[in-house]
Amino acid sequence: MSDLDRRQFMHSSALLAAAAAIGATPGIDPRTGQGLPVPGLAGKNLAEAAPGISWQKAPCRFCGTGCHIMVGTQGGKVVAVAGDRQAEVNKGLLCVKGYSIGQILYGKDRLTQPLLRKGGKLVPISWKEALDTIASRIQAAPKEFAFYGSGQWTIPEGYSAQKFMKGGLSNNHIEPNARLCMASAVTGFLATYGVDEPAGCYDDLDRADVVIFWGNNMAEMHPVLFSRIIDRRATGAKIRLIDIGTRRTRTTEHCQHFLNFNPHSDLAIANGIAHLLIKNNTYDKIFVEKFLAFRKDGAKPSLFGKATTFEDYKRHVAEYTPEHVEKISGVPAKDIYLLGRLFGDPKLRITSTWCMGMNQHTRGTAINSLVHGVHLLSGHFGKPGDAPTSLTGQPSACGTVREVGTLAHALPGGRIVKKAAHRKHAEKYWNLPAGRVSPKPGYHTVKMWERFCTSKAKGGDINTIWVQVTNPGQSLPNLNKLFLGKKGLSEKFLIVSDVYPTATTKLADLVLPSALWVEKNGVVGNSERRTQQWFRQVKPPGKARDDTWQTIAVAHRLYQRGFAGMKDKDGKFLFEMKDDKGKPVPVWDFGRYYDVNVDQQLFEEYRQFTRLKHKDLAPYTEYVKARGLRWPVVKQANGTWRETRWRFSEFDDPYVKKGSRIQFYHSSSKNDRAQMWIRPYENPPEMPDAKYPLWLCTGRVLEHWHTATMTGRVPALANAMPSTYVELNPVDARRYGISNGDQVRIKSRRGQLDLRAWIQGRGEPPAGSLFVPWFDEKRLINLVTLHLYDPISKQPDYKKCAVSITRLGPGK
Amino acid sequence: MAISGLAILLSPEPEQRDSALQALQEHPQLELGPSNGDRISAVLDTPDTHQDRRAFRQLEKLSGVLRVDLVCVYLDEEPTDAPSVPSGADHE
Repeated sequence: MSDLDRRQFMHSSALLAAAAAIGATPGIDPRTGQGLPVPGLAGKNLAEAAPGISWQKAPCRFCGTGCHIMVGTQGGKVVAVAGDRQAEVNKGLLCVKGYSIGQILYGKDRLTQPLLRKGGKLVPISWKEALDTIASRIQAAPKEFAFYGSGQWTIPEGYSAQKFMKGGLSNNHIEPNARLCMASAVTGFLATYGVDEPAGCYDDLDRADVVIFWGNNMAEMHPVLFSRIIDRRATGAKIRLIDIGTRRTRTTEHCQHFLNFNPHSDLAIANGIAHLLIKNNTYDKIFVEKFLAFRKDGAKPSLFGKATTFEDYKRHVAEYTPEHVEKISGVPAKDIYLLGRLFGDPKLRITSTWCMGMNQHTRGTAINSLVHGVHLLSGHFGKPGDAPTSLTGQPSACGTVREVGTLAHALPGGRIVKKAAHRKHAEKYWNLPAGRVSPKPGYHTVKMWERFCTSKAKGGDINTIWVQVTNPGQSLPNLNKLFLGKKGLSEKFLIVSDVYPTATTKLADLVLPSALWVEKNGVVGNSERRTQQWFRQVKPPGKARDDTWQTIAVAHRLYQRGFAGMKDKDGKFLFEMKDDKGKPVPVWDFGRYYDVNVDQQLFEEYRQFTRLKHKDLAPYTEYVKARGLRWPVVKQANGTWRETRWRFSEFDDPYVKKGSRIQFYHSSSKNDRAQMWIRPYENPPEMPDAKYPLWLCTGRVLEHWHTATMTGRVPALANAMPSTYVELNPVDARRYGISNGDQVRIKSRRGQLDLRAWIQGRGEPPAGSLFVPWFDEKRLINLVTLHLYDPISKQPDYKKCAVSITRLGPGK
Repeated sequence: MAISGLAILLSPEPEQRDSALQALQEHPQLELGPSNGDRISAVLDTPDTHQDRRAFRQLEKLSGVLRVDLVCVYLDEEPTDAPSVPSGADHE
């Protein structure tokens, strides 16, 4: 192709993609499977523009929004993507990462064969040797083995890992990286409603008069959802957008109000709103009378605390006058009055959204429960547009981690290992002998890695960790302590299943090549309770294989060796899969793995768990037809399956008693009421001082997803944001003699990192604070961050610690 | 060479919208494509990444333009690790 042709081709492709993004390219006609006309492109459609391409649906691999994509394949490769107009979530729109998603499969350094560290080097080995190595490690010390996954585990992947650990090894040391990103949202929901996950959904964004972003840069982190809001404004809707944050971001640019608060003081702001609702007598009397119970912490913070009264609650919030809140938070009192007025107006519809800002917080559970509390006290709950809704950063943080329960204390479907009845359910569904599931919770993420990085002689009782679909060598906080501490501990063994070399594989003893996204079947669950399914569309490269297969294959190795835990109570293999005629299929042989739909069989088994907490899922085949369904999905008299958009509200939730309007049917006070918590502001555990005078906040950028192991392989994205930097305020730049582009050193009590300075960059932190994106594996800001965590959720605080900054010299 | 596909959201106010459309049509490096409501697709064709970013920021600042979404970028440059951030001038 000549340069001119190539340029014209790229030009046309860019226009086609842009047209598709705004819905001018309709994508695929579901009735004919053919592309529909593209306005303005001489009547061409996708099929005509690219003949020979097959198109199938799949949810996006990146964030928790859950956009659907039409994936175009040809000759065994993904060659095109388009936004899926049939998908309610994104209505054909995709963000810059979504449009680049096909390229994540084709980085030059894909892992294609198992590698074992021998003589200090990773050398190729067979799958047989890899599986035997893992089985031997587990057999030698099954209680010292841990499984570490993520919110990128599909539901079947997480479910098989969960069953393998808790049902097979009687070992509860299974954790996800989601402990680091949304555990406080979980405990916030549990503490308030007695059950996890949002009552509302994305439809609230289409109906709200006011949207409040609580430390949430939606414009960059969930850009398609943000477009839903901005699109409404463009069509004349009067929406008031309020950014309550610690740094100006792209989201701030679109907001009428920016409430810039001192780190950690969001608790004071929420209490200030409650103060005004009571003082102005604008709280919702019916909610207080009928739907709320009041609660406060005992000596030790917990999910349940102890009961108290509305009078006690009123006394507590009395001190949070707007003027007092201003002193704590730095937010002008007039803005607290504004929030009080808005929440006090019953005619408005108010939606709050949040993500890492409220969750990565040593008071994460407290601030989550306070934001729910503000909505409940004001009655801004349970009507379309009136909702407190947390967002997730991974495609199945909800579907897998929160619903399948891949956490050290949990069992599928909202169960916990401590409850005998819940263990019995698991043993029944898994056909296990009584007592197989251990009642003792395993180690949470920070503890698990702490124990792994401590020698056995000093109490480090985790000796092998198997990591799937995540990159803890970059994403854990205080890496020197929680990851790099493994160096030199010869008895420790790290297994990593991944698609590319990462910061984690650098220390791995065994590396397993994994299939990625549409190289395998999958089911995931997004932030609005929507379960989404897709089929494998291309084969993985070389010897890369599905994560679920890897788990089942190791389980089978143990079964072959007579490991009792890998047998059910009838002596059958724990992961026995059958064909249509009921004949067992040896799916541990990868050549036979796709003879049956393993995902479907695991999903149908898992589905039994979902009814206890009224998170009912439909049969797998319903998800094949749909662009996701929001649970509870309940069968109707006519045989169809109906999803639920608003939980706990009589008008939509089939589990709410008729005539009750709102019913919190999993209430922890057992009286159908939600819990209103008394939770005061307290100083954070680490604050700037003379030696470390600045706040450090970390976060993400539009172009990269998490640790950039995928987006870093997409040339357009890598070039758009090649490496990380430190954002600082011009006041601090002057104070420390730093110019734009200078090399600087960021130092905390835990570590240091050299970076380039960016003054008045994309975001702008206020004077006294710095911001560093964490996507860059060559510059690990988590060498600097704090590992202290919320006492209830055990989620660490990546959003604030104390650091110093020093100019090293001009940028190169 | 940098070619970006853009989704541009225009103001619903007729005056502002017309003014933005005129500015976009006159932009030497921009080709407009099909529209859908207040959104219009476009291609920004510039010699390099640096100029692509600069033009992108100018578009964001145009009166009547509410938002510019980057949909895709085609570059003839391989990913680089430097400079860590663009020069200060690029971000003024």
